[in-house]
Amino acid sequence: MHTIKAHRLQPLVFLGFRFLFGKPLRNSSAPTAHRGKHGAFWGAVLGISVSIVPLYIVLFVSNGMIQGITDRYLETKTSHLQLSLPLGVSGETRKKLQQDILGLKGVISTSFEVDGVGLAASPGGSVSAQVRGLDRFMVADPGFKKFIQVDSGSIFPEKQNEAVLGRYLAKTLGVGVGDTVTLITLSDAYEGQMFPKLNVFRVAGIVSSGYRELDANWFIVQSETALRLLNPSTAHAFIGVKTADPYGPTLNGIASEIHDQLVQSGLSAIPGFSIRTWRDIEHSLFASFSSTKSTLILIMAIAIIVAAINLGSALTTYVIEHRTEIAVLRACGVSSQQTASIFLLGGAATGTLGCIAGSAVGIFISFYINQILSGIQAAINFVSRLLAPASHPVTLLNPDYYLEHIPISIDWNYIILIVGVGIAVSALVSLVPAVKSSRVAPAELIRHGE
Amino acid sequence: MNDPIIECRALTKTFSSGTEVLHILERADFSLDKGKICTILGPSGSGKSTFLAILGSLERFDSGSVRIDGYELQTLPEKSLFVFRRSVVGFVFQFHFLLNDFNALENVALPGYMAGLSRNEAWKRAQELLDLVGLRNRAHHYPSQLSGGERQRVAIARALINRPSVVLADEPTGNLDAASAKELRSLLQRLPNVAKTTLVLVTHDPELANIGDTSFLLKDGHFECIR
Repeated sequence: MHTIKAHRLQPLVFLGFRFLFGKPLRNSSAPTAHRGKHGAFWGAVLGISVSIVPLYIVLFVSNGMIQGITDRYLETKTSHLQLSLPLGVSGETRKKLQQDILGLKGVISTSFEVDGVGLAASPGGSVSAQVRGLDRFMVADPGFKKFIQVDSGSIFPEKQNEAVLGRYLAKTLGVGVGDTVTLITLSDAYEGQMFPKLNVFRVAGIVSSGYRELDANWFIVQSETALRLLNPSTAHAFIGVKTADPYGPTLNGIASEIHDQLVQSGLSAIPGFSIRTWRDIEHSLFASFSSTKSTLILIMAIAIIVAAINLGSALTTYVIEHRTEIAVLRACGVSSQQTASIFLLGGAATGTLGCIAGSAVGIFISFYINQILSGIQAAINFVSRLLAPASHPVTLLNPDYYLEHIPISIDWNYIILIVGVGIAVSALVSLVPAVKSSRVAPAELIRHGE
Repeated sequence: MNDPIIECRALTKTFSSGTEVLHILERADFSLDKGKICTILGPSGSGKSTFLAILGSLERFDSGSVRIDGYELQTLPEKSLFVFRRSVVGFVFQFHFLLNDFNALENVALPGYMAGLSRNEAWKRAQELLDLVGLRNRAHHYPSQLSGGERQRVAIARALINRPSVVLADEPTGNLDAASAKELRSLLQRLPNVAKTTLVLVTHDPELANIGDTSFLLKDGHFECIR
């Protein structure tokens, strides 16, 4: 009696690969007809890769976009934490609070801001403005400086009658540095009535955060000026707090500590004092980003599932068309478990190859998405200028809604997850053909011969 | 007297076709000594191929017993039959059934490789068997590049890769021209000696039937020894 070694994986991989992908081209003595002739499985690999590429692009671009927008909100507008103050709080109390907060572990800066609304007017037009009264600490903050691009002039109004405008507000008003702009705000109510308050400002600078939705209507003045101009019933004053890690778990801890300080100083009892994290402040905005991203990923994931089902279908067709070869293997002593494993491994290998190729292409495109989009945009505009010289230039990503430069954030956890799920789904859809192959009876060969 | 390597007792096999029941084997007895060549003849539809399939565990039988090289087939569960097939029997069919996408060497080596031989061992053994069947220089040719006789010789080499105790051949010359059939007959005749095996041949070919040490006629579900 012969000794047969235990079942091993290597021959299954060999047979599965050769069945599904044919003879490798290199050093092959196979006739052309037998070299990699099972195009269906290279096609399945291609199908899976092609379906994965947009998933990566959507994921990394949306992650980068959301991260970029979030960073801009946090560093240039909301800060990481906001301690809201009643408008009438004294300067001493505010400074004392700022000092105390700066003493907390993990806090890197604080600044005072007063926000409100007004109407900016110039000979070029008028538009509603988001009045931001900042102090010097805000503009000195590295995060603020990192994301604020100064188109012209200065980043901060040095005088009380100076203002720094957002790029699109300046464009709408048709003003530049040195021009004057009138800001109309509402005065305090007097005998139940409100009166407009007109103030003329010299434009000291024009800035952009790189995200028009955020800075379109910025009208930046000194905080003292804002306190003077804005109506207390509509204005909002706060101490903006920057921390070492706005995304980490320490943020809530710092918020609690600030709240404790308010309680200890008795300020928490005064209406208007409250502490909020950036997640609370812009909750609806980030929830909207998150749900949009989830929807896009879901749609892309469906494409992967369709590609995997195609793989399962191709494998099933292969098993049906190659029953005789499978029966030959069974007659030669290959077990039903082995034949099933061949197709299971083959399906998983197809998925793996597809996932690896798709991941490589997807990551590459994601890395160079800005250059690729610029190239496509330039090509479209070149062709459209040729065909219609009077046509307006096309902008693929409208800066009204998107960042002007997409920051790409590659997350290896997502890559591992996508590749893992891709391989698992491929193996899963291979179960049906695998089971089918295991049921092929070797006796079919005898009937074939009769 | 040698212990028979194949011994069938009261072997019964029927096929149902609608309401009709076909009695292929009716309490048939059969035995064959080790190292012999046995040819089985019989009219078409008499059940020769079915008998071969039973010996190779490709078909189950209704009742009786089949013992081959110590294996009692009636007691082997379905899931263990592959062990019997890979270690005890080798098949040669009327059609070569070579895998078209694999060359001759790979076709021969695969059952050994799948049975647990290392890749080197399987390929080495396959090359030796191709030498044995006279196809040393055709090892890297694909089935489409081989003649009918050559394909059938590759199929014989494949049947021998796991050093089976019994080779079962079903009309191996059935699809061959006269010259190729003659070459194959000669090879089959030498097989028990060179491969240390026992050969059971089902054939219609009287010349092939003559190479047997014993010949049986399968008729009406029973074996009749005719030589």
